[in-house]
Amino acid sequence: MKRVYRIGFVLFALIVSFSLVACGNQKLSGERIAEILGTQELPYDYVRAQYGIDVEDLRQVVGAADYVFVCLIKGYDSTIYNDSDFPNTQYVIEVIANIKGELRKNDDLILVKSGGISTKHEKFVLYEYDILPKISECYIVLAYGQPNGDILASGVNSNLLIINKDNYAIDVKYIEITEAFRNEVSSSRQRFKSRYDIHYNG
Amino acid sequence: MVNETVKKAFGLVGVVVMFLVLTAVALSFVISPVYAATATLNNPYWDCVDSGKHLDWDGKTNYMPQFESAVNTWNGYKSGIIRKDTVWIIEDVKISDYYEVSSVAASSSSNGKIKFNQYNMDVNTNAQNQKICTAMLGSALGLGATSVSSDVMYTYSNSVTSLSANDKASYDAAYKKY
Repeated sequence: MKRVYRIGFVLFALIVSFSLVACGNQKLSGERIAEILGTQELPYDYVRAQYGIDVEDLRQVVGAADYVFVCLIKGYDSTIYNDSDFPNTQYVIEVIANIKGELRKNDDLILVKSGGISTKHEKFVLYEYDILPKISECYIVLAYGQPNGDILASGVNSNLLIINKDNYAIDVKYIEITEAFRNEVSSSRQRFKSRYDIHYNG
Repeated sequence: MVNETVKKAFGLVGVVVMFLVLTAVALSFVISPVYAATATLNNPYWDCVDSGKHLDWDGKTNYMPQFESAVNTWNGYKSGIIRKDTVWIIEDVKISDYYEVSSVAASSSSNGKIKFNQYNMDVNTNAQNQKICTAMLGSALGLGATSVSSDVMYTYSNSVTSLSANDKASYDAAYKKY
């Protein structure tokens, strides 16, 4: 009888242990991630970067980017992780106005943003001084076409919040960016077209 | 009569002392810099240095000569801190390359990953890549980015490869936290 109790106790302890481990590793749902992206609800782990351009000079940032556009962040799609566990957040966006390049409008596109929720969902990982876009907000995005057709926004000043959503053309950031576009400092480098580019040939 | 002699003697001594003090002050401005070096650390603070005060690295990169020069730069100021990983030692940082079309040339994170973006590194000069390697190791050592272009910890790509007074002050401050 004592032996049965002992086995029972061991089994009970194992079940409790597994339950605790399972609870500790509980991941957030996609809806919950969408709610908290860009907020302070989780701590941030900032990654230090060295940049090939002066990312505080908007003329250089616009010049280096392939696509500069105003968009609405419509939703959260997923997070993908590279081999060093750095997250890339995939947002569903709709382009409202193209400033540089011509992406499809009136369509749901996927924007890849460097940074996002960590593999264990316990923090956000992001380049230092960068910000993660919030769902339902409007941003000017400065993005790069990737060899696989993706569009990627990465690092400082790759997405700028439009405060005046209803009339973006008078927003201070829009005016700054269009001015920077007129005086862009272009960099000669290999460029790739996005699959969402209206001139994309595949 | 005696009083006047004493006054004259003290007057002469006073002139000599004043001359010596002024000379010393003038020399101190010539010999030592007028400004003080500024220490900048990661904020919030993090480093990848282990409890034995070593930064042991492992991994591979296409920019190994520049990376090794960067290791020598930091070890030239404080010897023996950065070491190549061995089978007996657990690595503190792992270096690797990746490819991504963006303005990011390299990154260094608190989980001990230093990554070099081939898209930007392949078109840089050796001096630029050495600067980037030095800055990324500096981040792993706990140093923060600066906005002073003569610092190796300056955020943007240039060809500065030697440590400035600010870089050394930052390393000294970080070392106290190990």
